[in-house]
Amino acid sequence: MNRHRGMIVAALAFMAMPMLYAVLTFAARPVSEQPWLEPPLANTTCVLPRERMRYDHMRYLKSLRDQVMREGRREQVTGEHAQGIGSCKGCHAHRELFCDRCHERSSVRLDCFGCHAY
Amino acid sequence: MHRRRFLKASAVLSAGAAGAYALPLLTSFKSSAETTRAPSTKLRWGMVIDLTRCPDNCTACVDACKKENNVNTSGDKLRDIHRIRKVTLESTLSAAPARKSVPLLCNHCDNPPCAVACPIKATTKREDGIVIVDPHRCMGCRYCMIACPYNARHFNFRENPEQPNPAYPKRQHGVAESCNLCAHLLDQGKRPACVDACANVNAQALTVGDLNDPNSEISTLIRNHPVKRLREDLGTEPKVFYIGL
Amino acid sequence: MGASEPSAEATRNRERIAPDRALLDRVLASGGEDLRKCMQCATCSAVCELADGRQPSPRKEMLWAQWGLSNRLMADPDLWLCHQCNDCTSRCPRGARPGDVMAALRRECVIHYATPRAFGRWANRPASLVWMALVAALLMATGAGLWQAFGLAAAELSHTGQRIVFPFWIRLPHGLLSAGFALLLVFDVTVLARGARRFWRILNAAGHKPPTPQPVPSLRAAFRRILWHDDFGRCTQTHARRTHHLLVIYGMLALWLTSLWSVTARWNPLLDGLVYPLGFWNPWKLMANLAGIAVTVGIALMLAERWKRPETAGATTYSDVALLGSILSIALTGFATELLHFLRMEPLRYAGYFVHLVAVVVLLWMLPYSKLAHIVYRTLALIYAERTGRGRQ
Repeated sequence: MNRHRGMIVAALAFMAMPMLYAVLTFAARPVSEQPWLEPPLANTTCVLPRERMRYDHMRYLKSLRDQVMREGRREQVTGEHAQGIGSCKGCHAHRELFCDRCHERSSVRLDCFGCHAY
Repeated sequence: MHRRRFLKASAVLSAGAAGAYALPLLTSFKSSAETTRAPSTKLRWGMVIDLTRCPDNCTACVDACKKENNVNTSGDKLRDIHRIRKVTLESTLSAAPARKSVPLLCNHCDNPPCAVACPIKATTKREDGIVIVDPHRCMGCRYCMIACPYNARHFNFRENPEQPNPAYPKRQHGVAESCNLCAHLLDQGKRPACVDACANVNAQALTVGDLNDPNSEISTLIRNHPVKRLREDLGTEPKVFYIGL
Repeated sequence: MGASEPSAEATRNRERIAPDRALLDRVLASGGEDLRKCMQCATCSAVCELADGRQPSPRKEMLWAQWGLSNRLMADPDLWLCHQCNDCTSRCPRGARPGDVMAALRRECVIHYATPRAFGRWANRPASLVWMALVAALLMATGAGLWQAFGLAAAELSHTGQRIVFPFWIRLPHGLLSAGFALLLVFDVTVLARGARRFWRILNAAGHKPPTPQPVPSLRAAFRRILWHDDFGRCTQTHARRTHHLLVIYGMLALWLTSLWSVTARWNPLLDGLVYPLGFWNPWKLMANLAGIAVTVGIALMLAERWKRPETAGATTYSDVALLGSILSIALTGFATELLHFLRMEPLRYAGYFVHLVAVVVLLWMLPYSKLAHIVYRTLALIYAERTGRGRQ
C-alpha cells in the first residue's frame, strides 16, 4: 500500500513539472533573442550561404527580379528555382514559421505575398 | 610658385573626384535609351493575328490569358482589366464583311508611348522587344494609360481576390498592367497562353515568333500575306501584325 | 379476524412488487447466466471487503436481480461501491458468479441513467463501435472539407504572429477541431450531469440513512479513496488490478492535461515565444509520451488478466472489450502519429492524425454510455457512502 501511495505521489508530482517548466521559462525568457525559425528540409542547400542570405536576401531578390523581368535572363532561376520567391517554399515550407518570424520581430513589413503566392 | 602648383594639383584632383563621382551617374542613364532603340540583331518578338482564322464568337485567348495571368474580371466595364480583348469592328467598306471580331492587345511598339510617358521607368521595352511593366516600381500615376493610343493599358482599381495560377504573381491595388506577351513563358521557351489556347481550339489565328529570324513562322507569314498594323500613322511601330484587317 | 385484516404496522411496511422481466433477461444475457444458482448463503457478502456489514452485498443484489426489482437496484449505492475484485465469485459455493452479475447490473444502471436511453442500449451492442467510428470519420472529413471550401482554414492560417501556427491547419483545421471537441465535451458533461443528478436524488430518496450535515469531510474522504485507490487494495484475488487501474487513470489524466494545454495554446500567455510542434525533450511531450506508455501498459495488462485468468477477472463482455479497445487504440494511434510526425512522412502523418482523432471522438461519444461513466456514478456512491457512514464495517 505504501509503495502504491509513493508511486501515485511521484506520478502527480511528475505531472506538475511541465506546468512548472512553462511558468519558469516564461519568467526567464530573454527579451531579445532570435526567434525560432522552422528549419529547412534536410539534405538541401540554399542558393546562397546562410549569413549572406540573411543580410542580402532583399538585394538578391531584387537583382533576380531585374534579371528575369527586365532582361529576360533566366539562367539563375532554372529548375526548382523557376518560381522566383515561390521557389523558397521547396525548403521553407511555411512563411509564417520562417519569414514572418524575423520580420514581425523587427517590424519590417513584408510586401511580397500580396502578389506572390507562397 | 608653390601656390600655383597647389592650385593646379587641386584642380586636377577635384576634376578627377568629380569624374569618379559622376561616372555611376552617367552609366545609369543607359536605361532611358532602352525605351526607343533600333532593333538589335538578337531576338525580337512579334505577333501575327490572322483574322481569317479567328472565329467571331470564340474567346479562347481571352479566357486563357485570364487564367494564366490571374486576371479577375467582375463585369465592371469601367474597372475590369483585359490584357487581351476581342472587339467588334464595323466596316464601312461594302466589299469587306460588315462586322469582324478582332483580338486587341498590347502591340509592343518599337516606339512605345507608354514607356516614354512613364516618369519612373516602371514600363520599359526589353531588349527582345517586349514592353513590360514592373509592378514593384509602378506608382500608379497612369500616365502610360493616357499615352497608349490602343487603350491596351489597364489599371488595378482594387485588390485581386484570387490567384488561380500560383506560378504567376497577381497585382496589388494601384499598379498599371498590360499584356507582356507572357514573357515569363516565352523566356522559358513556351508559348504565350493566348497562342496556346488558340492552337488548342484549332483556330491557330495567333502566332508569336522572332521577327529578326527570316526563317521563323511569323516572318514567313508577314512575307506571304498582306499585313496591316493598327494606327500605323502614329509612328509607334507596333509589332502586332493583322492579316485580313 | 386475525389473519384476514393486516395490522397498521404491516400495511406501512408493505410495497407492491413490480418485477422488471426485461432487466432480468438482460442481466442473464450479459454475464449473469448463472444468476439463478444463487441460494442466498451470503458467503459472497461475508468475503466482500468493501460491502457494508449491515446490508449484505452482493447477496441482496443477487436476490433483487432474480426478482428484477430495478427500482431498488438503480437506487443501490453498494452496486457502485463494488470494485469488481471478484473475491465473491471465487468463493461462491454454487458458482453463481455474483461479481459478473454486479458488472451486468452496473451496465444496466449506466444505461438506465443515460439520455437518450435507446442510444445507450445501442452503444453497448456489438459492432456499434465500428459504426460510431465510421460516422465520426465521415463527419470530420465533411467538416474539414466544408471548412476549406468556405475558406475558413485559409483564414486561420493567415493569422500569423509570433506565437503559433499549426501546419496541419490546412487539412485538419484547428478551429473546426476545437469546436467539434468542445461540442462533444458539452454533450458528455450534459448527459453525465443529468444522470448524476437523477442518481444522487434517487440515492438520497431511497433513504438508507439521513446524510450528515457536513458535506465537505465526505467529499474529501471520497476524493482520498479515489486518489490512493485504497478500495482496490482491499481485494485479495486480484490485487494486480490496482496497479493496472492506477496506470491507466493517471496516464489518461496526464494525457488529458496535455491535450488541454495544446488546445488552449493559442490563447495561452505563457506560450509567448514557444513554438509548436513540441520537440521531443519538451516536458509536455515527455510527460505525454510516458503517460501514453503507462496507458498502453495498463490496458495491455488488463487485457492479459482477462485472457489468462478469466476465473478471477470475471466474464468479458462486449462493453468491456469496447472500452479497453477504444482507449488502447487512442494510445497506439497516438504513438503511430507521433512516429510519422518525427519521420516527416508528409501525407501519411495527417492520415495517422485523422485516425487518432476518430478514435478520440469515438471514446468521447460513447463515454456517458460505457463503463467509463463509472467516474461519475462510483464517485457519487463513494461520497454518499462517506456521508452515511456506509461500508466501514
